Amino acid sequence: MNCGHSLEILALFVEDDLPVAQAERIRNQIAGCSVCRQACEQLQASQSLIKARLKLPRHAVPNTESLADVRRRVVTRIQSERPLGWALQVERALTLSFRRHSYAFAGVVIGVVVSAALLGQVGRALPAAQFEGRYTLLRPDRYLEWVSVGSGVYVDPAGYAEYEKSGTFPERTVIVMKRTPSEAANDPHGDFSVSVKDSSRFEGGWGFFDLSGKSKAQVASSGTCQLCYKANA
Amino acid sequence: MFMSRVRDAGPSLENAETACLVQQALNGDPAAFECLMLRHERQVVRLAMRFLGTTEDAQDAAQEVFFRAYKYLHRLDLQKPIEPWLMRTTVNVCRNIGRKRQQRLNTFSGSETAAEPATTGSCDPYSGVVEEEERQMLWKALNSLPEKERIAITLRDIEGLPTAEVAAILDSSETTVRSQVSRARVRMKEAIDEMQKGKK
Repeated sequence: MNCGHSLEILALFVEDDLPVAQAERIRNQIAGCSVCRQACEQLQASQSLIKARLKLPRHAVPNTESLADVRRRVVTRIQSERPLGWALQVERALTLSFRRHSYAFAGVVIGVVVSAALLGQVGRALPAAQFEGRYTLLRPDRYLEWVSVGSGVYVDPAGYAEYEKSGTFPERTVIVMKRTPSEAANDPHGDFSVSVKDSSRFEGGWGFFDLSGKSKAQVASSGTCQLCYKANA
Repeated sequence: MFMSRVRDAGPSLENAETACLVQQALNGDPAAFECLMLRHERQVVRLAMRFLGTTEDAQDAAQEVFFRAYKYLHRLDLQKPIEPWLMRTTVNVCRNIGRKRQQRLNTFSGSETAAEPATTGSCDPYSGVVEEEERQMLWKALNSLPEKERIAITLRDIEGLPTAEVAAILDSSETTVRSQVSRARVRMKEAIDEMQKGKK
């Protein structure tokens, strides 16, 4: 093009698809450019022909009966195929709920409460002391995360919290006593001993286990060590 | 066109009614969904005919469009008009049908293109023949365009929708649509030039 306009730009110009300022600029420029003027005329002619020939005739659009048939087919298909699977049903329920703010707020509150309750249950479901049978204790594996109450002595958090409140260790309290090899040499309990308070299992309430180098151990003694424990705990 | 009318009226009564029907349909009222179909079926079928060429294919496409609309009705933003969403679904369904048809044709005949739309039925036998030839040639030229350009020019020039509405339907920007439309217009002009050279 003499004016430097591409055919693509002129193709937009002839259908008023350009911003007003740009269209005005092109209009002024092509007024003095016969090549661009001719290109515009050809584009206008081709556009007119496209619209005239490719326009859908009236009779090409389906009649009322055909359209009613489409509706019937859709309804039948919806009824027979049940298009809403469980995933879409959940998505729809959530979408509709969150469109109503009060429902959304209630949903969030319920979600938080249920999650907290579940987490609480999970916490309770995994007691600090895990037994195999009635008197065999499995070695606690996360005792280092418990409350450290002295050199190598750890108390499970729930038991310690209750002890702080009431001054008494509650049922199912677990206390781990870990000794260094030199300390263990003079300690009859070995380098890793565990005390569990469980009145339903142990006479006197407490059971004592020597887990030195073991993954599980049977109760070593109960009741009789209570005084010793009270003196050292 | 249909969407322009809706938009001109702003957040019109029609939009409010549509939103109400959508809500009722979502609450499980089948009559409300049928009413939605009744309101929009002509637009859907007409656009499908434009892309697919035959009434039968357009009706099949419309069935699929409304089935999908029912399935995903909850995803519709009720603050916006329903038409661009339905038209977008129509375009997507027609694209799928067109691709499948092309694969079938490639497999069995290898040379045919999409079906041609119904004739205009002119009264003058001679002009009718000429018009029909031109129409068939333009239809072929249109179908030889790249898919995105073909859809853009169909919506913009043949259906006469404003660029903004075409962009909304295609989930694209106005700039992209303008670019596709301009390229398509130039290609169509070149096809027409070829046709006229052939006549001389």
